[in-house]
Amino acid sequence: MELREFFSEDSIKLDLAGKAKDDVLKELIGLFNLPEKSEGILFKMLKRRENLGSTGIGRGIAIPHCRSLVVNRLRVAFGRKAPPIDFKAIDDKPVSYFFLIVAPPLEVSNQYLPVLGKIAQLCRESDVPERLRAIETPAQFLELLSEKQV
Amino acid sequence: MHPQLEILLELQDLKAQMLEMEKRDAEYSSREIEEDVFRISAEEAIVQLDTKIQEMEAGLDPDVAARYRLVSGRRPRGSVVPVVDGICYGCFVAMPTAMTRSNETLRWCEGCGSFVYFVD
Repeated sequence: MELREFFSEDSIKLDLAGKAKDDVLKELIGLFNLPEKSEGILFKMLKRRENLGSTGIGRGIAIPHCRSLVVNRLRVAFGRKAPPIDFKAIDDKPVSYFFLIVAPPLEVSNQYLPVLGKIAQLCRESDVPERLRAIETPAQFLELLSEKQV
Repeated sequence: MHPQLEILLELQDLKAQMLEMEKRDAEYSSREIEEDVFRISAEEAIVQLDTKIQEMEAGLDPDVAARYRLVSGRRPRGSVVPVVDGICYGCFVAMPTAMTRSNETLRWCEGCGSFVYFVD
């Protein structure tokens, strides 16, 4: 199982417009094309998770995540925001790169935690923030994932 | 969406999050990831989630709360289950074809008793 398998070009947005944490979360949720009501419930769940502690892991990266019944399979998305925004990250630095992960509570394939772990592993690599900054197309993002073989 | 179903969905998601945080023995443990990667205290998070769950349970109508209590203790898959392609994911039995597939009405599965949520 590699991360590349879970992303598609339409779940990648390299020019997020939101200027604050909530706007960016909503924009990322929008990449899943869920019904409006489901988007609202998912937003609430992500906010509840953020209330436990920011998912901003430092070096300009955040990994908002939760389980929710509003999705019927694991969903992932990536977004990039320039200039970076305040996300209350653990290093107190603003965030530009967002990996969103959502899975249903009952997940037959149990992919959620391994995928969350792999994204965290990817983000620990020293060159990743710079590589994420340099990509110009969703296809290049997918190529980066393939190259990293995470 | 039916307002009580919205509360039930949130409750189910919060419970899933809390149960996952409590597990210690999984190969990929949510608790480990939350503590190591996100630097949150799992114990504090569990207390916060439990408090929120109790607050939300208090917002259920009495008849809904009664069914919720009845099914939540005995259904390992939870008191609210998705229905995907007409199949209840609580008991994997097909829902009656005459049943309107809408979340505007609060419904439950005649097979397992769990509240159902129709996933698009």
